[in-house]
Amino acid sequence: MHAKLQRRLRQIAVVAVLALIAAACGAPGGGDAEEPATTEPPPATSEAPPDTAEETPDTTTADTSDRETSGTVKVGFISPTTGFVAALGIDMQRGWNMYWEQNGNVVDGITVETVFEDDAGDPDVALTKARRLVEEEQVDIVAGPILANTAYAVAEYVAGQGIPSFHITAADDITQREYDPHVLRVGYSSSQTNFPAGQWAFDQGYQRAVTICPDYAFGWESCGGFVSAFTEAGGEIVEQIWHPLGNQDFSSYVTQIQSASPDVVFVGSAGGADAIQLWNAWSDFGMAGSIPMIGNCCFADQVFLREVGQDAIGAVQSFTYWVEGREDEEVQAFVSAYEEAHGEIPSLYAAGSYMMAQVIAEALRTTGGEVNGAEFVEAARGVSLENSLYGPLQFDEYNNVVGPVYQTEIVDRGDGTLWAVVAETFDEVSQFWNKTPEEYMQNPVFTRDYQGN
Amino acid sequence: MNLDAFLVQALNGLSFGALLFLLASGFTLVFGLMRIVNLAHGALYLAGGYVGIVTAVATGNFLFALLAGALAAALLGLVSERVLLRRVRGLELPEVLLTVGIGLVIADVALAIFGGNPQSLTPPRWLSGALDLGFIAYPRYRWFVIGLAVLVGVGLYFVQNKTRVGAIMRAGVDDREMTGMMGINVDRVFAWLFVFGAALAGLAGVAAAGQLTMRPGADTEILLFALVVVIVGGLGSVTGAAVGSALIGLIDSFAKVWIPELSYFAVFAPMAVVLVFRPRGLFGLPQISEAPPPLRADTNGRLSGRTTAVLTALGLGAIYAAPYVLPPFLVSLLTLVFISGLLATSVNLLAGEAGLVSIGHAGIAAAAGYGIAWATVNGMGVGASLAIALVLVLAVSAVFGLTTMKTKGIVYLMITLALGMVCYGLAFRLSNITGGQNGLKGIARPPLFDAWWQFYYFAAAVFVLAVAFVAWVRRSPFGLALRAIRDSESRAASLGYSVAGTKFVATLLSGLLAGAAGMLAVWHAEFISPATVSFGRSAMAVVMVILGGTGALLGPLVGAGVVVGFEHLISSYVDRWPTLLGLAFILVVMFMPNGIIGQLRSRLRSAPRRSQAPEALEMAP
Amino acid sequence: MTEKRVPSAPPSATAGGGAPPLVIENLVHRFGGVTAVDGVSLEVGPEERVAVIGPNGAGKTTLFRLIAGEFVPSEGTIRLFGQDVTRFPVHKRARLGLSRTFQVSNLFLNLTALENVRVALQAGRHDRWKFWGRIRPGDELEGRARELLAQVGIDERADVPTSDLSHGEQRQLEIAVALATDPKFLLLDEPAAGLSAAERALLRKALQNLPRRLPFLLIEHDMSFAMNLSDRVLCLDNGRPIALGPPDEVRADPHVKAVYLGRAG
Repeated sequence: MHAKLQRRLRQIAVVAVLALIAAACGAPGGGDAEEPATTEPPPATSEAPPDTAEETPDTTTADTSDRETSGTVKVGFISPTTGFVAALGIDMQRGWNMYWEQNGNVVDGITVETVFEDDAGDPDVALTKARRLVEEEQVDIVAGPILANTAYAVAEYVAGQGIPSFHITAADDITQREYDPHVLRVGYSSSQTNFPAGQWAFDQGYQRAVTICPDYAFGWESCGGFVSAFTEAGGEIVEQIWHPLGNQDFSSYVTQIQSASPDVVFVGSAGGADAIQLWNAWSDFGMAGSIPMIGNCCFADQVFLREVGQDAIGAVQSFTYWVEGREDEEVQAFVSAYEEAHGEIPSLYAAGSYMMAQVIAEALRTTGGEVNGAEFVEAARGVSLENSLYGPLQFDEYNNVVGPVYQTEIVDRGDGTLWAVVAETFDEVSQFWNKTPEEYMQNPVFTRDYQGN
Repeated sequence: MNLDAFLVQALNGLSFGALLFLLASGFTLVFGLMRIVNLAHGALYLAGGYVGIVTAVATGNFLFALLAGALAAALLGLVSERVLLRRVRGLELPEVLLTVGIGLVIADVALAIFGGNPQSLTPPRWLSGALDLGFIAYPRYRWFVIGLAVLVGVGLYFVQNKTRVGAIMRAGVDDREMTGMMGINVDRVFAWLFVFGAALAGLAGVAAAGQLTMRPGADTEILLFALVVVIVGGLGSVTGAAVGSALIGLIDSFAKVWIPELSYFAVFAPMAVVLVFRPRGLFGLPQISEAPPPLRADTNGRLSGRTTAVLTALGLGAIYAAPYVLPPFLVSLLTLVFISGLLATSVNLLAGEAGLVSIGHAGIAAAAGYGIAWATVNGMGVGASLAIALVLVLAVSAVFGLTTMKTKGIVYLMITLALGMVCYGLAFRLSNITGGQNGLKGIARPPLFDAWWQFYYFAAAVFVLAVAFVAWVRRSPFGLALRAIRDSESRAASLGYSVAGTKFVATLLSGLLAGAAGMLAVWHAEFISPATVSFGRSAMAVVMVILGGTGALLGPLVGAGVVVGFEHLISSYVDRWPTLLGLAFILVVMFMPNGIIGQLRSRLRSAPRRSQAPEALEMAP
Repeated sequence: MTEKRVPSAPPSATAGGGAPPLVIENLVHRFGGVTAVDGVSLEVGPEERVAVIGPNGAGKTTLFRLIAGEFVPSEGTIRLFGQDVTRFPVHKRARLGLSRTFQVSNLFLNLTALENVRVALQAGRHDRWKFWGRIRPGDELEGRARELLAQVGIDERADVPTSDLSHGEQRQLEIAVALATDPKFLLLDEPAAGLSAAERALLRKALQNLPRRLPFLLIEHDMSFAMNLSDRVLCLDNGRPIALGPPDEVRADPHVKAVYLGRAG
């Protein structure tokens, strides 16, 4: 009796599975009241009703019509508020919110609403959140995420839905060889700030340099910027040290640098724990100030400065776009407001998010509140600011910032906290440095093997 | 490299090794004496480190900070042991789940309290700067850490070998029952030892705070190092921890200089060597690594035919109805549950049937994922992608199989851990093929199931087929052989079974399922990056299996539902979702030690064959 | 210590054709400085049952393990069915038809009694690799398994998980499992160890019921249990044979008595 029943069960299971497969070819998309979907299966085709299928950019205008603002624009903000880069994600949220608090979240009559999501630094989670934001919350714009791989995963999906996405950093190629009209970077590519650094280093008389960067795309791009400019100017790269991401102990690398005794050391760090640990080892070995150190955008930022000791003062020159100690009204207003609210000086992640908000607000002004996919990004690209937290700012035709790069020094603000101040300004630096986009992109993207030298 | 530089690099290695020793010694002690793999050890390190930093800032006294950190961790350990762990003593897998849950809670609460900024401890003046010995100048703080480790090591050795407590400890390892019968409350001694182990972790944290940084994620990173040290040195041996940590520290330090490209993998080399030639570790105790598996409750029991039929029909019906009833986003989440559930099912095949818990299966899944991704990016069609994925999966599974087929228990776990980490490293390093950290994007789904609901049905169908496959394997002669091998390898061998061969085949079968999960995953996200191969993913697969009930056919699905539900859904509404997830684990272990399905099964079973008590017996070595 | 010459051949010599199941010649084994087995010779005939007895430390276990194949003797030879197996590993001897039970329970505790026997029956067949076909309840293997369980007297407990069986039942199951591989020669390792009187009786019955054509060698501490089952008994002391012959003879042997009841100096 049992055997027969079980055999029948098996037959049912097989039939059911086949039915499932068959269903995959003919069932409709379901949903609740939000979806004006059809309820009968379309004939043998494998497409689902248009507003639930993946959209190509061409159909954006027609399909985003039902997203048209009725006075409200929704932004989905994805950042890692848990996980190993939680500090960055939290700063990002704070910076974003600060813009809307200071300027009000109504732009020319349009209310800007934000929905926040945590991606925990994981691409799969980021993608789920992006889906939720697009499908459930029906956001018009996506901002973030920050990590390169999460950004790639999300940008791909979001652009495919015809929705504009804004980023602070992300990989170089997102505004170069992988350009997409739906994606805009309110920030600088990883190599961008390091071109002037390479040039400047050589002009200072440094001939021999050692670079130390993390062994992944961001590190390769950061070092690549410095190395290509430095060698172009005539300098020599003695050694390039690549450390594993998340490396714990930097003492071996510090010792290696000591042995090489270069004129200058370039550090292309992603910031955070790696930067602090590198510095602590550097300092422990008494190297602080002994060999000049040049940092990229993100090495000696506020996350770093909050933790390191006084011997960092004057020991690192950074080339970056956010300088919290810059003598500018807007910058200082932002810094004091932020410090009052959160008890610490804003990092570049906070400033970057603030900038994102600002650019989006300006773009909304231009389009009168309409958000139509690539058109909106075009409007954002057209934003040109005489002054901002980053200084005078505009965008190139690849949707990347063209703006000043500051050479900074670390000083004591006077109350014991460390911050960066401007020593020299390099105006209107482009992601392509001194080449045309076509020329630049003829070369491959920076990797461990191709450093532009 | 001249002598001075060599010396400095050696000291670099030893000072890092010193930290590892402080951490690993507590871990290995607790395992050796109590057979608990305390996966919360890293979180205790983190908590101790944070408390140490805060105390140092508040009091300005470094020694206070050391004490405070150790005490804080000890307190957490005490609470964990007294309230939670002692309820599941002797049950290996529930203990693992419990410690994972505790670790999650501690780490997330630390994030909430101390924030996400990486923090370090400023050493006091008397430990700052370098000590100039003429021929070399080396940072004082690092000398201190080395000294501290030596002190602790000597102290532990003394206690273990020269004191009464130590004698009890050693006796308890050798023969628990006899020691108990001599009137010694073994349980109480061991409980205090757990607290002591926790205190050591906290001390390690404070010491590390002055040399590294405390931040979210530091707990898992350092735990991995500690595991490697303990495998190399041998579980249960403090001497082994000392030798192992010195070795690993030195290898790490010199590899960075001499073979920088391979420095990530270098740390696994001694582990591989040890596992091949001396699986119990350099100083490991045989009674620990060769202990027989504990008895388990019968999770292979049969529900009545009627119940199964009804439940199957309901289940299939629910699967079919979902896209009609739920919004696309939730359906896509369900798809993810099936995908994660499939990976967990592949783990469950080995864990439930053969008693082999693999904590590296994400590596096999990723082989399929990257195979398909690479083929797609290079313009190949679906057929070619699948063919490449299949070849890769079989190759990687074969490697897993060959390296593990003569092992079991904790050694098996460690080898699979290492293999998973190697796969992760390869995904990173072979960036020309894998895209490195950035990953590969634009991996379009085959047109046949491109839409969200089509892909959902496809994923569900693959999952159902996989579960059916596992059910069939279980009821086959091969399945019976696997279960026999799980119970007694020596007996099976003496009957004529090729134990290694059977385990190898089982690994291949499990690998195919994992590969299927990897295929679904890369098509679901249309993207792949090393995050798919991380230790966290493999560990979560194991967690899902235990949550649902090891060996239960649908256990992995339920476990996947819980984990995915928290990570992807609840996280949108609750900031402290990792704490809730950890609490969920703890609650399941407390009230459903057989796992969710396991417990349900006990209720629904038509003819009760056993008492409801979970695994209560353990064969004493 | 005795100089008495013990006959190594059984009274009923092998009827022409076919080597005797087991022949041991001058087996010696040393561990470090200790000589555990010191010159043992023995022949077991085709339908014979031999027991090896002796006090603790007499060398019974070592002798057993040498025959089973766990290690190679320092001196001497072992022949199974005429084949020199002195250097053969365990599984090779198993293939020649040798089967053994274990003193410390080495059953598959999470499997039922029936499954334990079934797994043993399945071992020699190709379909132990079959992962696709279901085991059909009531098939040929199951029938055979139940027969074996009946033979040792525990067929009523067939579907009970082994860990739930009593110690005595487990010992009976041990034998059923050993029989399942259709052995030609059986080694029994202290099968009665730790059993109550009632359990011992059941076990004795099970062993007596074994087919005559299956010779066995059993080592046992309990003299009376051994005597009741065997055709001949070998008594060891300090590794040396001190008596070999039918049970009654050995029981009456003064040296044997001395060894078991204490020595005079």
